[in-house]
Amino acid sequence: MPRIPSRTILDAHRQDHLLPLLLQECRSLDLAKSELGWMRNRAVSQAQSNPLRIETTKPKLHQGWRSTLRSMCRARSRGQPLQYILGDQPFGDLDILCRKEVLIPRPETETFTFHAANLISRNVVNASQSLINPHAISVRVIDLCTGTGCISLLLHALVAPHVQHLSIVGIDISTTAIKLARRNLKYNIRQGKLLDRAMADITFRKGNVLCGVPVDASNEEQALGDTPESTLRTACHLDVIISNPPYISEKSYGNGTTARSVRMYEPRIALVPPVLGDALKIPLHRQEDIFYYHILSFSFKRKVRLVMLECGDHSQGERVAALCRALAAQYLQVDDLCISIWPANDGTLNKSAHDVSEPCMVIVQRLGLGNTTTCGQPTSDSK
Amino acid sequence: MFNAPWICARCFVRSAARFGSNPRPFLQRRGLKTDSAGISQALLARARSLTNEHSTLSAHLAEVFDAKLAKRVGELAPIASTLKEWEHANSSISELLSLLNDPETDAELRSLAVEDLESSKVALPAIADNLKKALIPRHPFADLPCLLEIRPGAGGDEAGLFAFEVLRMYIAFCSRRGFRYSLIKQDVADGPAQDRLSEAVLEVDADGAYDILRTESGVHRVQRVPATEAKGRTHTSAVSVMILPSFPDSGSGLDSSLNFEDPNSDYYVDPQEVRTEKMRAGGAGGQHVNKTESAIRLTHIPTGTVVSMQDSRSQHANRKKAWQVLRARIAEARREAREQEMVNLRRGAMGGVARMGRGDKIRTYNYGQNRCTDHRSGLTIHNLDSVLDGGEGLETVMESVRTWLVEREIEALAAEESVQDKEGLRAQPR
Repeated sequence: MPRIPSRTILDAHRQDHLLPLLLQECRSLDLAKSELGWMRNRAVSQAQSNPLRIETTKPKLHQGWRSTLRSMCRARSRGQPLQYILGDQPFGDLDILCRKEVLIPRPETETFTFHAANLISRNVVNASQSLINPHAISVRVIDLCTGTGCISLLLHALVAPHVQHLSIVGIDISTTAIKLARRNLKYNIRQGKLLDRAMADITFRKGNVLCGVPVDASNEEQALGDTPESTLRTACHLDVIISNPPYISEKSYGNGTTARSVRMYEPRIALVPPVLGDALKIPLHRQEDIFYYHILSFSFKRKVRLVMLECGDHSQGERVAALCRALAAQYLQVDDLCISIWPANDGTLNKSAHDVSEPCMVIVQRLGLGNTTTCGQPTSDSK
Repeated sequence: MFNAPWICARCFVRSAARFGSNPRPFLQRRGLKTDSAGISQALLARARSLTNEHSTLSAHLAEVFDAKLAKRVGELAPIASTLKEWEHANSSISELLSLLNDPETDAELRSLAVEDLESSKVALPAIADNLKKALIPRHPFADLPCLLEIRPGAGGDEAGLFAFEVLRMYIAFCSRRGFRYSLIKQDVADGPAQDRLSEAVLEVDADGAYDILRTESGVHRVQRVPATEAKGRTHTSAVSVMILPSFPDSGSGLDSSLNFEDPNSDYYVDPQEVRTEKMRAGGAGGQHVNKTESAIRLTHIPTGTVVSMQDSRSQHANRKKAWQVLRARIAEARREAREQEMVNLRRGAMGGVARMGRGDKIRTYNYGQNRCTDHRSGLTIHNLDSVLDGGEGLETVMESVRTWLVEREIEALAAEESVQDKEGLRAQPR
């Protein structure tokens, strides 16, 4: 990491004495100023909304916004993520609450979720053309490794206006994450950013995507199959799996690719896949792809129509696509499968140079059943 | 001045010149062929043809309903009704005149007729005025909410300081009028204080706000001793204000000409022509890092318009707002280009009257003399605070500019009509 020139630090100090603290984490003056603005706004609004400010005798609540701001800046200078300090992060039009031990939603995930919502909506339109009753479509989504629940909630906000029967199940191994996801659901409904039906449509459950067959498989089976009345009512299902699993390898976690602040403050369990005893039985090139193996085999067992997986970079995306092809051969489902990587990396975009190291999304679409989606559609759309 | 014991020669000449000529009434009269009722024949002819259109269209509408036609009829209805009123008044006057000229009329009737004639003659100019106003075509963005863009011009720090005060003035104005507003963008210049703007965009979210604030577009000049001045000299600096249309979200049922997602619309911006840049360093992304950098820069390649937005923590929100501003700027530029074309067409008739664009100085705020002068309407208010508080003073100034705008529009209309008349005459002999 390049050293910050003392000239810049002096400049920063002249503008605000708190800016040099923020520079340690932000590394650029513009960003430090923006962050200071956001924190100042939050500190002022907290001080105003605190009714105990005058009456109480406790010294902690007696603080004005200036001291709140100062302590925020100190925390930030130690590398604590801004989202943990402020307690939330905007995600699409939603506000997602954040807390320690749960991964903070990333802007890339936001972009991917928008694309996923488009894909789902288009599939629904395609399916409804081949049906007599367009309202008879139900969309069932499983969001594996949901964390704060951001993907589930944003998908609901985007897809629900077009689909009458929508059910989304978010699954995570961490109890803290599940609690936070439920809190986020209630919070966003209260803020009017989600429809009221989201409360019934979205559920969050604890489950282990890896290995823990008895608990999580039954849970997922339930999630996909336990709505008998809706099965009777609806003629066509659209099953979707979306996931942003831990994908950082042990090596890039340790060698500086992963930022210090992330290593220090965000949960390792949400970033690095664990090493399991039976890992040797699974034919994998890289340990960090283990989640994709489990999710994809599950999708082949259930014949899920649409699978969308976030990957760390394009080489990992390629590996996951290859893994998917291998598994398809194993399950004898090669014919009607369409695998693509989004955003496509064929040099047509003007910034493809450093695109390779950025995250991407692997999309697996199962054709057939009157679905006329062509294979080229998702990639041609992204250009 | 004349109470002073002596006057320097230059001042005397200047003040004498001011008393000697008063250019404004002269300007207003130019190009208007007025008859007795204060309305030119050209305008009258236009009103008649539009009324004819109105009657045929409404007859057609009685048979088949068409949303487009209905809208047009709604636009023409006030012209038709005012013209009817005007003709009614005129015919009653001529009737009364004939009654007066008739030698057989008895004395009692004659006195009644004289009374009626006087009241009709008083009412006529008002009706003519209304007719003129009805003839002015509605501004294409008149019904829209608007974006108010403030940028300091010449004058360095002082311009930034005054830009902040202008922003405060409009915020106060909006809250006085009960308009919902939000500050989309506020960029502060480098410096220890937070009160030096380098750019601000205020969204005024009320239908018709564009029409109300349209009078504010232009360069605002300030003359005062700045806070940053050590030697007490008066400085002159400038702040430019731009009023841009804010397009509502698609699907709100607006007509297609303002729907920006329709490729046939005048104000459509092709996403292919816009380059989006996320200002972030290369390297690993996603779970590896936790970046708070959310700045977005949009560049419209054909026109070179650049909008950058970094105020919100969400990239998504920044992109949305940047698109809103970009769309507004391009739409305003296109409308202005069209208007310029019209002006070029008219120039022959108008005698090269300059258009008041956004590049022109429109208003001066003079702190030393505690006055605010608008250079278009010529109105001076000697209570600067009431203007800068966004209160009565500002309302008065804006109202005066609005009447000025109406006058200009009528002038332009008359000129256009007379040009068409001339061309018609030229075409006929062939």
